[in-house]
Amino acid sequence: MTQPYSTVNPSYLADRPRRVLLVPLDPVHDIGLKVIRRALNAAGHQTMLLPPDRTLEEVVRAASEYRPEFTLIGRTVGYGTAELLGRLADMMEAAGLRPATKLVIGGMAVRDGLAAELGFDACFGPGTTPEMVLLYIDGKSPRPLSGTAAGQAPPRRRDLTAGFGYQFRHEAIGELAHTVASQTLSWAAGRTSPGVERAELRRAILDDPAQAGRNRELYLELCDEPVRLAAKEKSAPEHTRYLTAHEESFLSPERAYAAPERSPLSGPEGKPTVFVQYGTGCPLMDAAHIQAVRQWGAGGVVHFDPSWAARTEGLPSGLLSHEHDGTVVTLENLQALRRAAGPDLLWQVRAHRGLNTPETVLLAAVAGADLTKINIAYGSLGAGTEPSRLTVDAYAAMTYAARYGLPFDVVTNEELSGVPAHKAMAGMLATVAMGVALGGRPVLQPLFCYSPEVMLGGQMADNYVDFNAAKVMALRQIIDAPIWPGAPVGFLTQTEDRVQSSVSTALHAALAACLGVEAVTIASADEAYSGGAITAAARLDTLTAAAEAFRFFGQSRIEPTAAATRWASEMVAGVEDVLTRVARVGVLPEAIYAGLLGSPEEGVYPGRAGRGTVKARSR
Amino acid sequence: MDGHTRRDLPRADAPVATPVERDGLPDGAAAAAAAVLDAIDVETCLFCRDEAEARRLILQLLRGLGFADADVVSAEHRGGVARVRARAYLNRPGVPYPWLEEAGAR
Repeated sequence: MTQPYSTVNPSYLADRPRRVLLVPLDPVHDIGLKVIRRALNAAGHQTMLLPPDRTLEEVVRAASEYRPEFTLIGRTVGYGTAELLGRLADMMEAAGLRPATKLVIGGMAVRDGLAAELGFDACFGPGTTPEMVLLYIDGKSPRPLSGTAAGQAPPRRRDLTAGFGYQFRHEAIGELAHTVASQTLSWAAGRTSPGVERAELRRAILDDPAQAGRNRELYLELCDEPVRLAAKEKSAPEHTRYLTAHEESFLSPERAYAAPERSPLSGPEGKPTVFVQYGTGCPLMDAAHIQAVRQWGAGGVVHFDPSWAARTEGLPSGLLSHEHDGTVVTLENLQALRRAAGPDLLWQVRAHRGLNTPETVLLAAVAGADLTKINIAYGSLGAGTEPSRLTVDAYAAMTYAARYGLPFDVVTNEELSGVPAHKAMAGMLATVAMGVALGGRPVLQPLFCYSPEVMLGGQMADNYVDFNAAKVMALRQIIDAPIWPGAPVGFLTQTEDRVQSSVSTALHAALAACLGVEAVTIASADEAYSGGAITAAARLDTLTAAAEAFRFFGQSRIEPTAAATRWASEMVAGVEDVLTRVARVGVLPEAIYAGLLGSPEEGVYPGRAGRGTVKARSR
Repeated sequence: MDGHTRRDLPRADAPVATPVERDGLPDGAAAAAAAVLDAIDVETCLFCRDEAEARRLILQLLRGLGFADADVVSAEHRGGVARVRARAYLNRPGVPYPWLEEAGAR
C-alpha cells in the first residue's frame, strides 16, 4: 500500500498545475489514493477522486468529461487484476483518451512487469510514498523532496555537539572531574610513547611528502615486526591482501554512488541520527554495505577495525582486504570508505582502545571523518591497552581531535565486562573533562545493555526501559553534553533469531528516540550470530525495524517507572563517590590499577598491550 | 558482534568463478546468484524430532540445492516443530565478487 505518511516538504509547489484523475478500481480500498491526492492538492495540482467500486464504463466516462493529463489507477485486490486493467487500457484507447492522458497504476496488487505488459505509462507498487508520485507527475527524478532538491548541494552533515556547552550541572562532580582531568593531563603532558611519536611522524610525512623518506624509516622503527616487514618487503601483512588494480578501480574517486532515495530515518525533531557499524574486512564489501544502509535510512556509519590492530604497533598502508572481521585502518582504506559514505552520511572512525590511537585520529581527520571514539577507562580495561600507555596516547589523540574539529564519543562498554554503570560513567566523565580541557567536543555514549550488573542485580527483571533511561537521566543531571547511546544499543538482549533481534534493537532505538538523545548506534540482526560475516540484509533488517519503531512512537513517549528516577539518583551519587576516590589517587592510570573504575572482583583487569612503552618527553 | 573467524581468502589473482561453476548451481540459478551481495538466508519451519535434526535437515537442504558454504543461523524446536534459519554464503568478504563484475559491465 501507499505509505500513509508523507515526507513531502509542505512548501513544495508544482512547476505547473496538472489535471489528475484518481480512480480506486477496487470494491473498497481508496485510502492510498486519498493520501496521494492530498499531496497533489497541496502542491497545486487539480485533482478529481472517483468513489470506489465504479464500472470501467463509468471510469472512462469520467475521464472523457474531466480530460486529465494523468489517470492514476489504484488496485489493491489481487484477483482478476490483469484482465481488468487490460480492458480499461483498451477502453481508454478506444475512447480517444490516449495518449493525452498518461495511465498510471499503483497499489498492492500491481508490479512493474504487469504494468508494462498492459501498456501503462508508470507503475507504483507497494512501498510507494506520495512524494514519488508527485515527482513523477512533475516530470522530475524520484528524489526525496524533504531532503535534497534536485540540483541543490547536499545537506550539511549534522553536528551532534551543536548547542551543548559542556557545563557541569552537578557542581561537586564537575569539580572532581576537572581535578582528575587536570592532574591526568599534567601527568600525560610530560610523557610520550611510540604511538604518539608515530602520529607525529605520520603528520610530518603527510605535510611534506618530498621529505618523507627519512621520516618513513623512523616510523617503521617504531612499528612491530609484521608491519615493518610488510613495508620493507612490500607485501601485505599476514591475513590481509592488497586489492587488485581491477578491484581498486571500483573504489576510485571517479566512482559514483547513488544518492539516497529517502531521507535518513529519525524520530521527532530529526533526532536521533541512526548509526550502523560496518567492518566486513574488505573495503569493497564495506562500500556495498554502506551504500545499502545509506539507502535504508542510516544517518551515519562506524568503521570497525580488526581486534589485532589494537595490539599491534604501527599501521600498514594501501587498499587492504582483511581475512577476518574488521577492516584495516589505512589511509587508503579510509579515504575510499569516506567516498562510499557519500556527502550525507556521518562517518566515525574508532580510535578508542589500541596502540595506534593518535595516528588513527589523525588519519581519520585527513580522510574526512566526522567523528572518532576515545575512552581511557574502557580502552584500558578488559583486554585493552595498558592504562599509562593509553592515557598518554589519548592525550595526543584528543589534541588531534580538537585540532581537526573531530567530536569523539566516550563509550562505556566496560559494563559488558561487569563494571557497574556508575563506575563506567565516572571514567567516561573524567575522559570528557580531559577532552573539553583540550578544546575537544566529546559525546557521552552510555551503553544500553543487559549487563552483568543488572543480570545479577535484577534491575531489568521487569523491563529494559528503566535502567537504560536512568543512565540518560543521570548524565543529564550531571552535565550539559550530547548523548549518543550505543554501541550498539540492546547489547546482550539480542538472540540469533532475526525477528527477536530486530525487534529488540528497534525498541532500544525507540527508547533512545523517546529520550531525545542526539544519536543511536544500532546492531544488525546478526548481532548474536557468530558463525560468519554479518550480511547486508541483516543490517537492513534492523534499520527497517527501527524505522517502524520510530513511526510507531512518533512524538509520544515511553514512560519509565519510578525506579528509573531512583536509579538515576543512585548513579549520580555513585559517580560522585567514585570520582572522589579517583581524585584522591591522583591520575587515571593509577585509579585504574587501583580498581576504582572496575576491579578484578567485577571481572575486569587493566590491559597489558603496550606495557613499558611510555617514557618521559625529552625537553 | 564481528568477533568470529572466517575461512581463508582465495588468492587475489584467482580467476573469478563463472556463475555456472559457483557451488554447482544450475545455469539459471547461478546467473541470478551472481547478483547476490553476500549470502542467501532460508527461513522455514520443519517437522522434526529435535533441534539437532532441524539443523541437520536444513543444512542438508541447502547443500542439496548446491550451496556448499552453509550454516545454521538460528534454530528453535518446540513440540515437534522447528523454526529454523539457515544461511549460504555465496561471497565471503574478500573473495572476487561476481556482482562487482556485473556492476563494472553496467
